[in-house]
This record gives sequence, C-alpha cells and structure tokens, in this order.
Amino acid sequence: MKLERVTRDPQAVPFPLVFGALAILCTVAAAILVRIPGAWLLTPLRCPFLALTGLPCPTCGGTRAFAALAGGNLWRALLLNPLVTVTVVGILAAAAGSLWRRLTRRFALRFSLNRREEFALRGALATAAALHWTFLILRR
Amino acid sequence: MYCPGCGKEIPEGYSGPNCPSCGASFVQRQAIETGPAGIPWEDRSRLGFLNALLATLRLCLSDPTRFFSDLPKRENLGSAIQYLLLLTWLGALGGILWSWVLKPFQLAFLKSLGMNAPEQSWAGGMEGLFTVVVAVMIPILVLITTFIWTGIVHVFLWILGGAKEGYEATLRVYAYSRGSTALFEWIPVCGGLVAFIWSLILQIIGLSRVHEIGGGKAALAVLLPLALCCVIIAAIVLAFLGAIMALLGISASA
Repeated sequence: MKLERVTRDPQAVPFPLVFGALAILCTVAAAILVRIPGAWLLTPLRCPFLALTGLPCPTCGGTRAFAALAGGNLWRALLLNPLVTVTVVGILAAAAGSLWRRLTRRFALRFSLNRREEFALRGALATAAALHWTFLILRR
Repeated sequence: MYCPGCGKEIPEGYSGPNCPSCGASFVQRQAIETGPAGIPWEDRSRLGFLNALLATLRLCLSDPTRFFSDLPKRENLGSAIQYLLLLTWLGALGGILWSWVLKPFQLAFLKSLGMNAPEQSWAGGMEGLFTVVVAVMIPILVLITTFIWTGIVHVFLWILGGAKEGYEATLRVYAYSRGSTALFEWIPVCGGLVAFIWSLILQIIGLSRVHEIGGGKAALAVLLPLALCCVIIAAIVLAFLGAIMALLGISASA
C-alpha cells in the first residue's frame, strides 16, 4: 500500500465532502423518520424482503442504525446494522479528514494498492459483507 | 497544470506527451477536453439548448453503445448532472400527475387483491401541499439518491474488478442513463417501470463501454445491489399482474 501526497485539482469535485454531507443528511433524516407515527407515513416502513422470506436483508435495521448514530449510540448502531454503521462512520471520518486538510491547506492524500493488495481487499470486503448478513440472520 | 491521472503538479516548461510521474497521456486529455462529437448536450452552447437536448435523448436511446463510447470519462460532470436533474424533474412531474389521476383505481386494485392501503390521516389540502413540496424537492431527492446509488454501484464494480475508471465515470453513465429514460414516466400505469428497466439496460451498456469491461461484469455491478431488494420489484410486478387478473375475473363474471 502506498500513501501519496498529491496537489489538489481545484476543478475536481470534493467527493469525500459530498458523501460526508449525505451521511449527515441521512442520519438526521433517519432520526426524524423513526419519530414519525406510522399512520402519518405515505408508505409503511416494512422491509419487503423480510416480509416475503422471513429473513432480514443486508440493510435491515439500517434506518434505526442511522437514528442510533444520530443519538450518539455507536454500540446500539453496530448491533442494529454493522455494515451501515461502519460505512457511515468511515465516510464521516474520510470527510472530516478531507475537510481538515482543505482548511489547513495541506496536500490531498491518495491511497494506491498493488494488484495483490487490491485483490485481497476485495476478498476481505466480500467476506465481511457475507459475515454481516449471516450475523443479521442469526441474530433474528 | 495538474496531471489528470495522478493529480501531481506538472513542472513548468515540461512539454512531453506523458506525465513525468505516472505516464498518463496528455494527448488523450486534450481530445477529451475538446469534447467528443457524440454528446450533443455537452456542446449545447453551439447547438442550442433544445436541439442539444433532443439530439442527446435520441442518441442515448437509439444508439447507446456509440453514445457511451463517446462519453468523456472525467470532464463536464456538471453538464451531466444538469441533464439528469432537468429530465428527472420533468419525468417525475408526469409520474405525480398520473399517481393523482389513477389513485382511486390503484386503491381499488389493492382492495381487489385483499390488500389494505395505508390509511392517510392527512386532510385533502395537506396531501395536496405535500405533493407540491415533493414536486419542488425532486431535484434534491434525485441528487441524493444519485450519489448513494452510484456509490453502491461503483463499490460493487470495484469488488468485481471492473472499476477501471474513477467514480466520476460511473456517475456520468448513471446521469445520462437515468436522465434519458425519465420522460417515460409520462406513460400512464407502466411508465415508471419502463423507465426503470430501460435505465438499467443503459447503465449496463454504459458501464461496460466507459470502464471497458465485459457486459456480464457491468450487469453484475448494477444487478447485484438490486438483487437484494429484487423482491420489491417482483412484488410490484406480481401486484400489477394480480390486479389485471382480478380485473379480468371481474369483467368475466359480470
């Protein structure tokens, strides 16, 4: 793995900041959504995958995990949906890092992996996703 | 000046055809910057707004392979987003109109299937106000869902080893695919479904051309995330089929 400092292209879209803003927006929206009485909603908040198969889908509990994150309860969020929680925390950390580097006028950072490392990371991600789903199914 | 490939600053006075750090070609970059002839929307200042819009729609829907082969991979992201927002907003207005007109029939369909529609506790005026708010907020909602969806697709593409170009390339493919099919929502009843399926096909073609990967890998990257919620689509299709069958049954017995 190689970590390089690169000069920021002023024309480039700051994607870490965009995704960070989205993560915050979704967290706030979820915190509001779980407080709305069910009768007010245009569509019922039920997972069709769960309703039809009896098994949770990989994102089941995601909205409640977002809401738990909004309340600062990281452990509860992890128990509700580890994948969503880890992804959101990762995005927020990357966005905070990017924002800090921009504000302090530091170089941007770029990670690069060789083929072997990239292959290993892909496998690890796929395995983690499968383990996550297994956890959700077993926990039910 | 910065290298388009690695982002490093190019030393002043350097005139080589490739980046001294990563070897990326500047000739290709210049070709991209001049804008390919195949994307009329990105040349709308010369062609005129309406001509460029119609030509892009025609080309994307009738010859997607050529369209996405000509698509710049990094430049003009703003143009692609404008195209997406304009057309999805126009399309969604059609969807909202038809959902208003057909609402009593949809409720009758659900009842004929033995399904109870969620009871609305809102007054009629509030519901109208909510619809107006949604209509105004469509571009924001589209922008949010676009970033989330393309982010998921790009991660799947990367896991499958197909992300040969950056995230922007995936975003541009989605913007043109979704934008070009959005107006199908003006077709009553099945317009949304037609737009959705056609957009998926365009995304698969677009990703395979832009990332220069096989169609199978592109299809997996688009369909795998959907596979997890495909039950939703299957349920919608079954509901439609059931409703039609129920209607036929009613008319046969009448």
